[in-house]
Amino acid sequence: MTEILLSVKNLKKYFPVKQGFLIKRTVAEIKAVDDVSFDIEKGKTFALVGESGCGKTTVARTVLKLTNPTEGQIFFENTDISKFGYSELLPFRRKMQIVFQDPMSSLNPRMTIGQIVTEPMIFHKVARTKQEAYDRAKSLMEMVGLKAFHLDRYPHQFSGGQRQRIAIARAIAIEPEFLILDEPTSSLDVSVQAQIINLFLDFQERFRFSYLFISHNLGLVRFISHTVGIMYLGKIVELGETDEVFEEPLHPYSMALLSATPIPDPKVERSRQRIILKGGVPSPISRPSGCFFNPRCPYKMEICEKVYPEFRKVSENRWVACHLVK
Amino acid sequence: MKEPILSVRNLRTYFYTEDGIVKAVDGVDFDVFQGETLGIVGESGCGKSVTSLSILRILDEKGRIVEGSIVFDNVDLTKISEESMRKIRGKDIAMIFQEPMVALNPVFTIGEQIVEAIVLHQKVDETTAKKMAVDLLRKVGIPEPEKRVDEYPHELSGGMRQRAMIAMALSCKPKILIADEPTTALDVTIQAQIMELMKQLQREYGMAIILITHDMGVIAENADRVVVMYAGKAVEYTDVKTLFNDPKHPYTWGLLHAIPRLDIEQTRLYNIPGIVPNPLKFPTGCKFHPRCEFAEEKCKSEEPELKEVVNGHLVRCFFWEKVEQAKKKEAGDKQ
Repeated sequence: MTEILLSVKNLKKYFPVKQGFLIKRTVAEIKAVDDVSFDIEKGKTFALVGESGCGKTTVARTVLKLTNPTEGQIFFENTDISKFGYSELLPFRRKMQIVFQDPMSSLNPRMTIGQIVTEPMIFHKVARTKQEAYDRAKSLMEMVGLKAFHLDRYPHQFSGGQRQRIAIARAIAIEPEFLILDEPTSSLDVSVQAQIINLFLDFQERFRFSYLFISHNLGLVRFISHTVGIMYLGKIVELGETDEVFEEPLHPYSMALLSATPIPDPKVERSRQRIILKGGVPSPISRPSGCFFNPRCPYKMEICEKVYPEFRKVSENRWVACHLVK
Repeated sequence: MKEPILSVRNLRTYFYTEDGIVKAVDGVDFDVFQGETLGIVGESGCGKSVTSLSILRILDEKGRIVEGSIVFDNVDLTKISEESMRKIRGKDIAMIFQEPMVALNPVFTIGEQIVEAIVLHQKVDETTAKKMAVDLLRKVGIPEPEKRVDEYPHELSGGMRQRAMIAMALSCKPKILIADEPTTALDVTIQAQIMELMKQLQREYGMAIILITHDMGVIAENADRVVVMYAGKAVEYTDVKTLFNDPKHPYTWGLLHAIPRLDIEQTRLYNIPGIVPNPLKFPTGCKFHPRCEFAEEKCKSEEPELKEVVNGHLVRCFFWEKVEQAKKKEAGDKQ
């Protein structure tokens, strides 16, 4: 029996576009997240993939309630937290943590690593005294591959990879169950990226963490995630088991995305047929009518310009929004 | 035997900073052939960009080429006057950068900037140059070039800006185009478009491309020959197929195993321990030895040379045969 930790249902997040000098009127809406649903099982990794501006980070921020959803539900351990206020959220906040892309801007430059790592433990009362928190911080540093004496240093004294390790130590300090990893390695070099990714895998094995992994790096997504959702202009266009989606993508956008990503092997790379898409991603303010992907889609039909395809279940673990897929 | 159009030998570029000497490039060798793409790959701070800046001699005032030669068309670019260099820059050797928004001047239109480059190197008047600019924009796949030519850089998307940069670089039909991380700031679908465009233009103009990137995938797809750099030094140099099928330097071998791939299932990524060293205090001996699983005592004190170990395959390592054994073991494990 699978155990669902987080379930997002029909999540929407719209941002108003205001215009006017003295009297500001809402002239349009940016539908950053538009009817997104997915589940994350306990101890598993769900990845959200897409190009810049597709809304993947907004999903993360909304799930954590850093911003309130416009519509939809967020079930964490079967409790809908989407309408919760500050005090109701507190016990849930302890169970959810996030690791950001840029560890330099997510660590306070004026705090020592010790203060950074112990603060959440004291705030969430995971540790009773400062001394206890500090002792735990020491063992956390070892866990993420740093040394106890690093606790007295400041963020600027560390390299990018080490800073990301500190951000991870802070996130796991309060023993969460669910971690959002928002492009955690995109500012790191490949050799350091591998170290950090292996760390995430170790922790998942040891503590049964569930991850929401956000990335535009498809190789990484294939490696780390169990299930994957591919986003385009605020909507998930394809969702399924990672290996199945990567072996046999059904949505034309998924196909194009996989085809556009170069494979580090000249033999494979030069023998495969590539799909080169026309044009760029349209503005989220004026999305095309019908299917949003239709102006770039090589398989466009008449209906695609008129009707947005329904997000349908096509097989056991696969959902696709495309008129082509029967 | 083909003659290379650009030959770089033992290039060393140092920066004399207040904190000490930064040996950004400290021993790089490669050849570039007509119509071919040379890839320079490495992690941040390995000196790949400084190598390209050295070729064009556009280093900032602290940087100096202290040793080595860069021979282009039988002329050593490190020896000629600034005035002669200016005739080569932009005409015979052009460059495109990672961030086109920074490289383009925001207060001039795209057209004005391309016209400037054309008038500088070719004997044409501005009206003809503008017509040429429109043609170039059309060639690089910018829709409505007649309209776009009068727009400012901020009015274009990232992908379109990079196309405009390419148009400008191509305006004088250069023999060599240096592309420094040309697609790093772009989304993958746009990256695929730009790389395809560059390949197509390369075939048409017969120019050589020096492609600088940190992405092994981009190298696999586009390069003919590859230089792998680590801590300012070329550590491996060979053709692209050999590099991926038969890497001989421990760093290249590790790097290729550290990349997650989308076409195969993997259970674990290879860990190269530690981090890229600080350029102010590089380790003694082989610069890679503190992170190398094959390192021995000798590597700590002595610096290996870049040597030809097999026909056309240059490696900077004393113990490259150990990588061979690791590869054999790996092949055995798979069966």
